[in-house]
Amino acid sequence: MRTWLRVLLPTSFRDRYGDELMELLGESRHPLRDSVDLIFLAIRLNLENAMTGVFRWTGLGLILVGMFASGYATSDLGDGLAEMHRHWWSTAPVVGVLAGGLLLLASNRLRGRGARTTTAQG
Amino acid sequence: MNRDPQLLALVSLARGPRHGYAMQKDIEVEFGIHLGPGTLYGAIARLESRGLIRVTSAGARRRPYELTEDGRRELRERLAGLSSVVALGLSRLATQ
Repeated sequence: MRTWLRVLLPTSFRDRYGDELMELLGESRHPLRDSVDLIFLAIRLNLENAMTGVFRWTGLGLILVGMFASGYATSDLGDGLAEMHRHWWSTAPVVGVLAGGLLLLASNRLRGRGARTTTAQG
Repeated sequence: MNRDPQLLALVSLARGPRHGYAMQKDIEVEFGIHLGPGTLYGAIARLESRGLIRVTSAGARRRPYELTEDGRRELRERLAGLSSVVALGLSRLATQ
């Protein structure tokens, strides 16, 4: 379990503090609670990394366009969102919103070892 | 009780260089607060990136950290700020 917990951390943070973190986790008297604590750290660091660079602006732009287009498109539908699957033109903004969100979430992995983290090297 | 992990880490290191495990245990003993490894190392990473602490022995398996001069100054300022809040609060309570 510690292996996959370690993998959740951004690469540069893992390289810098991974060994110490895993040692602390290995000696924990509250392994479940401390594992959850580590997961929250991984989520925070990955979100911080995702909110930097070109991926942030691209992702945010896609989400804004997608939300605007979704609202514009669904306002014309008699049954609102329930009709979306019958209208091919309405799936494009939904895909745009989803693509923007996925781009933000995946940006840390895509940028790999160059990801900035809150470390002395960053 | 102030549970700010960064402040607790700075106070722990004020006694001298310590590695993460020792910091965790020190905080547990002195304050009765358990900092999980994620919380603790999140604080250590932020403090290190701000230049308030540094590693004293990079080659050691358990890397000890120590306060820098900026770290000592930051800790003094934060504790002074907390002290004034405590003093004011207690004086107001005394007058009630």
